[in-house]
Amino acid sequence: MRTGLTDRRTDPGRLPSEPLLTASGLRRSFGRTSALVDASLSLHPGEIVAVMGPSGSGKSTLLHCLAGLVRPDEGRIDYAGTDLTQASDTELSTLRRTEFGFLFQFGQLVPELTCVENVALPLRLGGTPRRRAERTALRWLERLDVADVARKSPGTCSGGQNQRVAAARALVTSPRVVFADEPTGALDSLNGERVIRMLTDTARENGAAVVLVTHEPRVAAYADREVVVRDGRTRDLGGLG
Amino acid sequence: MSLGTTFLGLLEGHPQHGYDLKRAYDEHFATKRPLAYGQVYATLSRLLKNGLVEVEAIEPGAGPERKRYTVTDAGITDVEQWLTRPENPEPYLQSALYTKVILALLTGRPAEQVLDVQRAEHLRRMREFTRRKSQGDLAEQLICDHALFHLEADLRWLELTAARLNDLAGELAS
Amino acid sequence: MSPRERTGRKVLAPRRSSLLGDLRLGAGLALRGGRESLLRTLLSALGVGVATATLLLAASLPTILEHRDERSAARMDYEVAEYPPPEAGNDTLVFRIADTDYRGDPIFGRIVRAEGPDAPLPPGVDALPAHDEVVVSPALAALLNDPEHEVLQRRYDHTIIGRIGPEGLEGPHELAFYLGNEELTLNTAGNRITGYGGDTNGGADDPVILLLGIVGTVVMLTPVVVFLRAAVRFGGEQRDRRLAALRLMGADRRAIRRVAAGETLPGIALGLLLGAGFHHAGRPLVEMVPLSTGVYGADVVPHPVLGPLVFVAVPLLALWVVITSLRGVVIEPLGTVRRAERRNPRLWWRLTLFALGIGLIVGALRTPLGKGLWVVLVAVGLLTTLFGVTAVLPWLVDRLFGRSSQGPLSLQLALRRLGASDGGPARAISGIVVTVAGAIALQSLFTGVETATTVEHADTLEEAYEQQAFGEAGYNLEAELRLGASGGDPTRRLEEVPGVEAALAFIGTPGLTDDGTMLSVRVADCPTLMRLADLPSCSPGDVFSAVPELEQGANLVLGGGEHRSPVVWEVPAPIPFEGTLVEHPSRSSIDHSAENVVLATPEAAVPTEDAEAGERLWLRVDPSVPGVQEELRATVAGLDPTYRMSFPMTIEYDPALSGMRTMLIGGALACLAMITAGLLVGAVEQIRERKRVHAVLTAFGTRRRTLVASVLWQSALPVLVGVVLATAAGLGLGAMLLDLVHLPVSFDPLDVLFIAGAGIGMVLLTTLAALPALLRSMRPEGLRWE
Repeated sequence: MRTGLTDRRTDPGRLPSEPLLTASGLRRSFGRTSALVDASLSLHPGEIVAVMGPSGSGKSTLLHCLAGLVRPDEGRIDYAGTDLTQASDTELSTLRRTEFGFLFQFGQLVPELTCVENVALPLRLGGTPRRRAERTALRWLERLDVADVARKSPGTCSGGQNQRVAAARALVTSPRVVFADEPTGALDSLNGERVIRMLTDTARENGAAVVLVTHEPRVAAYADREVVVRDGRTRDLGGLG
Repeated sequence: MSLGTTFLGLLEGHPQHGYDLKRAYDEHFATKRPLAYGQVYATLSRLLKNGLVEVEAIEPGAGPERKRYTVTDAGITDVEQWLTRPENPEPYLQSALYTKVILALLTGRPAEQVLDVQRAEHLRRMREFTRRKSQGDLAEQLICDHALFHLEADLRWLELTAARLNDLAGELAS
Repeated sequence: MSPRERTGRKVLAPRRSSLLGDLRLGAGLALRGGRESLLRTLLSALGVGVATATLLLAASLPTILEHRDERSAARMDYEVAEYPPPEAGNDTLVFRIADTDYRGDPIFGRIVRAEGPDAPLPPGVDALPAHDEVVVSPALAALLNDPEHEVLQRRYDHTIIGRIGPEGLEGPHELAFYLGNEELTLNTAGNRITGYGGDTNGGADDPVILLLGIVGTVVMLTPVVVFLRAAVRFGGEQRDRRLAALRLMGADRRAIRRVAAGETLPGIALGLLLGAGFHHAGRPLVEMVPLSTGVYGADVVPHPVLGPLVFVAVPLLALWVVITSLRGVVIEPLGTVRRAERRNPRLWWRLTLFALGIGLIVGALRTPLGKGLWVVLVAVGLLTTLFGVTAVLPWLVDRLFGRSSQGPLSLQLALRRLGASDGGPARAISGIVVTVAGAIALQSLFTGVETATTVEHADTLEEAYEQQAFGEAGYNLEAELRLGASGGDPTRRLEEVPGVEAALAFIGTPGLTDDGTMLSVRVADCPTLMRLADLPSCSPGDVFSAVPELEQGANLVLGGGEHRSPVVWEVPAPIPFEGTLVEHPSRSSIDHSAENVVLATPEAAVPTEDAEAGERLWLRVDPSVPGVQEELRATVAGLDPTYRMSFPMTIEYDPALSGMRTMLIGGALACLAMITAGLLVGAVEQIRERKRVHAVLTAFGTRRRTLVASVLWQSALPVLVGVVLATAAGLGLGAMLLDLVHLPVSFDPLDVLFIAGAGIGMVLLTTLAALPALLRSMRPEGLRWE
């Protein structure tokens, strides 16, 4: 694997380790459109990687592939010894439930449920009893400073609040990887900064790795390094500076 | 913006010694290096000569640092005029970066690499400011944000140029 | 350092949600999902409720038939009458069957005479009627009280002393009476019994009700399924998004199906309650349905096995609808993918169904089957055929809605939307075609049967009478009186009836010679006898015959009954005559002539009074005179209540079929209503989902009229296409049916127009109902995102 990776680490407290998630040679087309041509990426435990690129460059598709949401046409994705391209739906579902967290641009909260119920949902899907799930969820809402909207419905909260609730939901299972696709895309810069700061801070405190797809450099600046996607190809510029 | 006008603004309502003035300036505006004493007194004497400040009191002791300055009416007018006059948005038409890209293209060197290197450097700086921002107070955050926004603008230009490199190469070749 | 270890995530890792948890989660989403989810729950509940009520009614059919059968058996008399008859006593009763009909509706009738104080009472009757008293069923009483049925009142001009209770009737609409008559004896064709009640025959003896059960259930369930589909799809896109969010959080496909199923559970539970409520509340209404002899509300009790089965079957049906509505829809973490439906595998079995249906119909009509069975087979065949027809509908709808790009903007918007939605309009059209076409086809068959002229005998009623005509005078009707006409010469009173052109009356009785030869003895005055046979001359006291052993002074035992007291007539010298005797064509295959007949004038002292004799009336009737049948019955009943009389008929058909016509139109309308309601739900749903598009279109300056028109088109087109196709298919099938039974093809255009008109009216109502939602959707607030 690449050398000198640990030197680039912004957090000197982390130990060098094997990559948690490695993808190489990913290719994926939708009909006649090629979203990914040749994409590679590796993610170490606790590392925050920004995936940047112009719109239509394939960065979202890359994230979807990495999270096992989309099967690439070619290439290999290795997560902790499992090849995600070959995993069954059940295996992938289990991974999503236990190891991954997701944060999207908007519309990911279930409008029928209150904020705390939304955050508790992944735990309940994992079989945790409702009451205990909601207690844990409330703690996470407190950590993201949105405990005051816990009993409200997402429809009555502001965009920034919703996004922090969604972040709490992404983190509630203490995942090893959080996949965030333009998490600040629908927010103004002040609220966006607040969300991304809380997400990265909390992820760091928890040792969760984050794949952060964004087109905003200021958001990407919260990451430890960046990967640029251009025309479906990755260019890892993270360490050149 | 000039150092003089900044001093006038700082003096408004607060007659101060030259030393205090420097400290106040450093606190609010200095980004990297503190202001040199020489520069402070040179500026003050220029303002004095133009009648924008006057010495309010000279305290017992020796040396120029014992003088207390206050702003004159003309000085206040000057500050007001400066504040209400829009700054001239400065176009950086001939930046070094642009020159680098063109030269790389003209000499057949990989221009994309130039951009990528610059991009990585910009982002490294941005990460730095972001980290500083998260540790600093509000004033610090605003300063960092200012820098971040500027860097972001550069970065956007870098991205756009990278996306248009082929067109640019074509135009240069023709 | 990482807090992950602290949270104990590893313990959770391999666990999955439980079935119960998923279902509960889904149920919670359905109940707490705000107005939209609540509305969907209520709509599903309504659909499930109607399905439950329909099936509960069907499940009650065995009970209904069983009770009817039991009551039928309880009033059984002729099967329990012993032979030879018991001695008359305090506990015996003499009865005579007097079943008849009135304007095509059958009447159960008995003439009774108690022979002692302990005579058996028929079920439902409190006291036996004395002479000239009558006990009637409520339905007959209602007719007798209605001035419109004056002719019936003249037929039963007796003192009504009571009503027959439900335990003595097949159903609330049965016409029945017990008439008391003191002259009724064994000699006058009575039977003696000591008690009522026989064994039930165990079979479903009313195929019409059974048929209605099968057809009605299928026909009613079709639109219910269409409606349910629309209901569970209400808020479908929102639901899909929600399920996709759950997928993203790691719910696997199985869990998603369980959550989706869970979402329908509250609706199903509520629907079952509603259905039970509908059933309970609807029971009294059932009595109002005038089909056949009707059904008592108290009989509408679900079968002990089938009833509970409904409460299992309906949730399964609803779940099936939900699961099939998810078929072709793959909920993925990133959203919903709709897979193209695989049509080809379905096409062939539907075409097979079609062929099978046609085969069933042809087979049922070509082979002689029981009267009830062919109707059932035809109905089942029809439904099978119609389901087969729906195979081509998706293709047709695609052709109709997918391609066209002409016409105004509103039409174009509607067509595109219809083409884009996955099979919704096709399903609605299928529903309409199956139900309405079925109704039209069956109804045209019944119309055909009703108005048809004879199958075997004649094309018109006149011709049928003509074929029955006999004798020089051209008599075409016969009536038989067992008590004998009261009040003088019956012919004069009969000739007063409009339409009666000639009448003749004589007394007939069998006679037995010493050596055991059976003869027919007729007693009438000379002019009548001259009309019966070609007599050389006639004067009072004459007897005519050429039976070899019958000489003057010979004894003839009259009445023929072995167990009745013999009446002996000493025959005076008979005068022979030539030629055959005039005889009603259905009476005997043997030609009566002087060799086997004795004709006598009353003055020859024939003791007919004491013998088992009957008076026979021959009439020549012009059948084209309106109401002549009922008028004749009333007059003849006035002469002798024990009369029997049969009229020439063009075709024999079950009179209950005509009642089904009304039922079918009603059923078709109910189906249309259900389907239109489904379309309304779809329209409102679509308006809600396209709020933003509508707001943008309005912002562009699209006129309200255009959008309203597009919504109108959207519901109108499927219904119009459905009704047109249904009419075509229904008429086609009807024509085929009529052709198969060799009936002239005739339709009642009014009925067809009525159904089509009702469809259009319902479309307008739908649009009107969807209008508020549409106008709301066009406000600029719709432009706001999220």
